[in-house]
Amino acid sequence: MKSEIRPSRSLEKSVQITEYSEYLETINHEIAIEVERIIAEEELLGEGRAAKVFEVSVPSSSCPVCIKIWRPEILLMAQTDPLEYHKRQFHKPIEEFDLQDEIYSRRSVATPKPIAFGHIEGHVFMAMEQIKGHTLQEIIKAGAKIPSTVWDSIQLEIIKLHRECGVVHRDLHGGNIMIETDEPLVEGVIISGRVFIIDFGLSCHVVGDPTREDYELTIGNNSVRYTNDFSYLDEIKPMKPGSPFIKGTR
Amino acid sequence: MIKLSKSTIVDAKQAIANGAPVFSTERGSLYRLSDSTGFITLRIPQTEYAQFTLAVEEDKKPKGIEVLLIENQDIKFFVFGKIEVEKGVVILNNRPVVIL
Repeated sequence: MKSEIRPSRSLEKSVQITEYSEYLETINHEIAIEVERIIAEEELLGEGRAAKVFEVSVPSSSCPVCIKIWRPEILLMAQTDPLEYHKRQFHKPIEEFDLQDEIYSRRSVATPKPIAFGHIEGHVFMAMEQIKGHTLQEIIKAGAKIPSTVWDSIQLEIIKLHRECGVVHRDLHGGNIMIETDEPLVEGVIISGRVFIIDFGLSCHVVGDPTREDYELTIGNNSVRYTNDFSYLDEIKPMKPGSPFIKGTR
Repeated sequence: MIKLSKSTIVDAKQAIANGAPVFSTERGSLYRLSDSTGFITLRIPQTEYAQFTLAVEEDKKPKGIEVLLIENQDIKFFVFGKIEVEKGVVILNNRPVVIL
């Protein structure tokens, strides 16, 4: 079984040592088996156009870490069809990892903490903190509701992402907004908790000073309106039957 | 190649500076970072640690995904899982393991 794990330079110097070579081979093999097992058996937490997210767990316990594994066909697409690739995954996976790390490190926008990035057995993966809760999409689908304070938090997180991190998400829909909670999803239940923004695969840095209230900014050679980020939310904001939002409730 | 995020390295360096590993031997120290992560620093060359690990009984070895070799001067292995220490034994994800 071939692995793409690369030892550090200091280790490479000693790779001629038989025991060490055996050791590297052993752990690479074990990791590859575990990743294959995760893909084959473990609970799928989420799935997007570019990647799938799996819970990392062992039979006797689970731990709140998840692994995002990019779809191999998407990575291949970077060479065969770059235009289509950029529609699904703007950055290289390592760049997405670094961007999420940068956003997390600022401690202004709530996003899962990225932990490690690697290549295993042809799979490119990122390990990160697992947020226990539900996406806005799941909340809507279940017929649950969120209080207006959570709605306010969602807007605040988006504005902070723009203004404090200088990043525009570009794929902000209900599946990429999470509410941290232990509350099970039941129709009519009110879901409240900390808001997290996830999946920065299509995100870009903002070039320029985001000062205009209409959030119209220039990103690279393109002019992008920040209001695009709100369009999905605006559609579901009206207080109508079935709306996830209820007013004045904490 | 396994690369740690900068935010994790900052937290790990802080943990080292605080000097409170949950488990230590002459080979190195195990630190807990969160409920589900930790890391290992070594006092011995990695080649020696490799020999030590290979000699561990199969049922006492951590799983591959639980202990990842990484590239960092201070931190040699990253640990995924719930770390507990009971009576001098490291319990990783509710399973006794020999990790150091």
